[in-house]
Amino acid sequence: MRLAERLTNRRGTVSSWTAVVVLAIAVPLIVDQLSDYDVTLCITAAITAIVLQSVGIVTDRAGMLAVAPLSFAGVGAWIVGVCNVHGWPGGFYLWLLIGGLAAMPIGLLVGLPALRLRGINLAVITLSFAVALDSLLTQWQFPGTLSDQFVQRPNSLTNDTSFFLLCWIIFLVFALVIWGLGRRPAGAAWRSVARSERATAAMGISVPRTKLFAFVLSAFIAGISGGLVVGQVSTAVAANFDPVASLSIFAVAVLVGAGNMEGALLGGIFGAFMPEVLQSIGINQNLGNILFAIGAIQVLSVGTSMTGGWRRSLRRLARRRAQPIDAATAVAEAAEVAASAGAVAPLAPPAPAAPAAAAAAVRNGAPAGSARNGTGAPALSIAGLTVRYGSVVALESVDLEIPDGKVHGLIGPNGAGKSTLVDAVTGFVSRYEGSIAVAGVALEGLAVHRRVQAGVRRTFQQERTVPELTVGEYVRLAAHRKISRQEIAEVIGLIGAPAPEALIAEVDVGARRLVEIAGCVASRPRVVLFDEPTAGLAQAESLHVARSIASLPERFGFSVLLIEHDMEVVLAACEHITVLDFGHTIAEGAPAEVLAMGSVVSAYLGEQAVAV
Amino acid sequence: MLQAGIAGFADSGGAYAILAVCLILVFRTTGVLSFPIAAVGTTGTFLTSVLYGHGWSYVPAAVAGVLLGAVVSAAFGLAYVRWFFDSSTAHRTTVAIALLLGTISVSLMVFGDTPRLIPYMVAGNAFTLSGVKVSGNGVIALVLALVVAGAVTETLDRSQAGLRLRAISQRPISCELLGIPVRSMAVTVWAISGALGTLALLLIAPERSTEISDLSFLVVPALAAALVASFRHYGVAVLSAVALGAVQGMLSYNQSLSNYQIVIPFAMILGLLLWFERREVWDEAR
Amino acid sequence: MSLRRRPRAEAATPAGGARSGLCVRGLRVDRGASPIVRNVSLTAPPAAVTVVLGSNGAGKTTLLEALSGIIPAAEGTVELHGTAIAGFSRRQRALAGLGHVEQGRQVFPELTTAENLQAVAEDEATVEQGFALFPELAQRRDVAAGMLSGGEQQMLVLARALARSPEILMVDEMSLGLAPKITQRLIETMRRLADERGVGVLLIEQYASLALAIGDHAYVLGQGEMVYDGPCRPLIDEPEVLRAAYLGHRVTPAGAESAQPVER
Repeated sequence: MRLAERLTNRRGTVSSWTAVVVLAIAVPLIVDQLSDYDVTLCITAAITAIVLQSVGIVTDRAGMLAVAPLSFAGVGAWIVGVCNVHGWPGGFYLWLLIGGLAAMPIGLLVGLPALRLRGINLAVITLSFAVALDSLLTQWQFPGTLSDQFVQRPNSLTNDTSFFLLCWIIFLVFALVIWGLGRRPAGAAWRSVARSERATAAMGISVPRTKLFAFVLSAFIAGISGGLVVGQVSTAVAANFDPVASLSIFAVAVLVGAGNMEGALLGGIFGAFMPEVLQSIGINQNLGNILFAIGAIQVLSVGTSMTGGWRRSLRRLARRRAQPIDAATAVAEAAEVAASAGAVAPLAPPAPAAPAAAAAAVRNGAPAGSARNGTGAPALSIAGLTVRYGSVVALESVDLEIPDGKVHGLIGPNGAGKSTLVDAVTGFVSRYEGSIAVAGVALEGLAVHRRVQAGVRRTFQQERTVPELTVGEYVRLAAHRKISRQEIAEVIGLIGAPAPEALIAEVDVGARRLVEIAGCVASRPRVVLFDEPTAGLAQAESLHVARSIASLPERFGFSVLLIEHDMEVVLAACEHITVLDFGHTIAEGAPAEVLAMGSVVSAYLGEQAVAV
Repeated sequence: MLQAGIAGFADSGGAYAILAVCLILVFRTTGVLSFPIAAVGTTGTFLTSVLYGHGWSYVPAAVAGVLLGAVVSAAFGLAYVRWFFDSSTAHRTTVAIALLLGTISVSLMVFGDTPRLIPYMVAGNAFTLSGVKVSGNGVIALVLALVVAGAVTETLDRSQAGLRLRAISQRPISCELLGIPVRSMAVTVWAISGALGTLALLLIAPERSTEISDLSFLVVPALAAALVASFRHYGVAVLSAVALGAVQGMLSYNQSLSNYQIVIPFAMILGLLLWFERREVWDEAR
Repeated sequence: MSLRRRPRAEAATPAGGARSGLCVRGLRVDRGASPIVRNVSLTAPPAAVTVVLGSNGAGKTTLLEALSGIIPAAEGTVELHGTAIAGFSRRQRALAGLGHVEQGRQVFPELTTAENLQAVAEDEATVEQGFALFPELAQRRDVAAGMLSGGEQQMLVLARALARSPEILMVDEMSLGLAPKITQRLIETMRRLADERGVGVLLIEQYASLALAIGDHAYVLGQGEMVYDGPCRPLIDEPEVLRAAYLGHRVTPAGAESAQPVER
């Protein structure tokens, strides 16, 4: 009953939609009643909220430090001025759009250099951009200032209240777009990149492309806001877009959590009304910025923004009624769902195709599921793999073969090279000797996301899900292919992960591992490499995860390489194991036999190290 | 034009170089990009200006300013050590940006934006070269930059404190476990950078506009110079800072080009980052 | 180069004069919401080698990190010579006499071998003592530490920690990735430290036999809990006991038959 509620009622979503619609209608009605001066303040608040939406995408969601939002607004503003002076057709609305579009290539230029480097480099380049553009805009008078050609609003907007309505509508449209993107892989990838770039790449997603998309979109939104400034005051000066104001917006964005719609709105109100409040008390305007700076620092030390904290509290209130979502409950509930939905057939592997075509398709970037290997080549084949880090030999001439549809264990003491092997297969090692092939397709020379497309997926020693996403959104992102909501629900149900609407932040570590596994499975891989999936889990959870993994090949048809330390799991799940020690293979075979071998026991307990 | 270049590198290059050296020192020791360094220097400089205006003679006023810069900067260091010691680089950088905003705002609030007279450390010109005047302040800045870079390099290479600073920049937690006073050393480095930053601003501010924000954003050319040095080589930072000053000086010779001086650091940073990026894959640490 | 003589840091003053070593009671360490180490108690007396074994994921490194202050402990008491150090900062614990050699040979890679020691030591004599302990390092004194071999790096981090004359030295898996001969050498050095210098060594190891051969007392961690607390001899004599412990069963020296799976 409770589960049914969660699936169909969606209490949380319904109430947020209601709130948004009420707000959307109520606000213009209220503003209509205010005095002229107050309406101008509201316009400023709305425009500021839009700028904050731009910062929210880049900084709050994608985790990139961009401190020049108003500079992109300035670009938009100047373009509107140019259009006005040269009498371009289309009128104000079109010029607004052109301004936004013009800001995009500038965003590309500024963001491109810092895509692959650490985030702080982006802060450096955007700050210097803000300062440089400020001096340029100061030199270049706003177009039309000298000839008194001010930007006229179209007739429909001459009334301040209607101009407010325009800004408000634009804000709502952007909020809807951002929300929509956030639920889709395009936007969910932002959050994933902010969490872990390696894990994102390991899902086959291009990290630079994701970052660039966030940056260019935010430039567009900022550009539009600049045009709106011009619309509000008919002209603009460099001081409207100066770097200190950009820093102030940045601080407000951090403080309120501008990635959320309510955060951007709150920040807009702060930005517009703080100067008023200070003025009425008689305090210097700069105190506002000081408060924002202190607020931002406080938020950073605590770890949650204002709206982030409110959302967390709301969830906690809602959770007090519902039970916590853990692995065992999730499995039971998933079984309920499966039973009530009727028999659900396991995903059948797609029809085989010729290997040459398969290889060609992979190299052209087609997903693995569309080109299967029909010749019976092993799912994963490693020959002579050698990895050196400087003078240290991490792996030496390791051979390993996993046939289709099998679970293969990889065990060995700490430092034996197991994770290095997984890193080499998945493309996280820059140089290695030897050859690695997935379903007959050689992986040499392929970047991480291309290898993923060849059909190899992995997990990391620490779980790398994205707490801000729901289970369904994460699985869709990790699947990295077109996948229906029903298929997502099927995979989740079969694995025993929590329901698709569950927020990963609410889910405990054991269940998050299941979510990760569901993500891997949904991508229809050829082979999945699990790096210590039960690390840090309690006994019961470990068994759940282990059982899940053991059943993957027969249910879904792909092979599994399982790195584990828990010998009971290895005995139960693996048909074949390889033992590594000091980067060499020291044993191979059926688990029961191998674990009884003297050399293996010694490797773990160190008896062989007594040689003198 | 060449003479203007020389004048430029003397006038601004020295100050940029001091700031760049401080940026590298703080970054390597504490892992934080000290965005507020020029803003802190501006605060100290404005205190000096106010005291000088009240009749203090230059040296005590300057000392007071330098002390203020050191104290404010030390306070920042304490905040980092107390609340953000184990935080990620992204978090710490965001804090630095907030501190930059806060410092500029406090200066604006305390000192207002009425035009202010910043006294020269050394009045007049040191010498004249083919009709172009090279200011005394500029020469002092240059000499000071060389002295500071040299002193920092010497200390890092040869003293135990320097060894410890280098160790801290490589393995801060291991240093703590070995009893090295990591946190107090970090605060000391911050304090020193605040003092030196104020000196740099005292030297360059008289020649520049007295807008608090303009002066605070002198951190940008310093960042460019530090980036050329990969935030590692103090000598390279000094050279590139000085070269940057020279190029800006040469541009100022031409009336129409002089307004685009500030674009140069941006162009440098853009080009450098593109160059550094060509072999990276993504942020490996995560 | 000059190393100014600095005042010797205060070692933990014992209550009542007894040097009781490192005493841990009921320690719990969480990562996020899950407890990684549960209800662990152990004693590492001075002038003795105390061995802590356990398979991967058992929580050995987490335990050490909580003891030296790298991560906070959720519950439990930690005492050094009778002084409670649970509230001490990392540096304060180091000054009180607790040394921690982390896993993974954390040398200062861009400093030379000699500089690694000089950064920590109070005077040249201490540096030379380090080279006396590991003569192999003396030959490499001007080589950047990042260029040393694994064994040399391990020796360096040990010498570096010893330069502070710790009362209790915790060493995390020093044998990882090292050849047997070198590991043997280091193990013997641990024994000498205990016998000749009175250092209380807390040795965390995955490779049981070498450590047990020189140990005075053994603990085995399994899945975050203490599954064995007793002398080393029985673990050497009855290897099945140790294997059962590594599988997570609580064991007594009487044998694996009485092993019970650990409750979670």
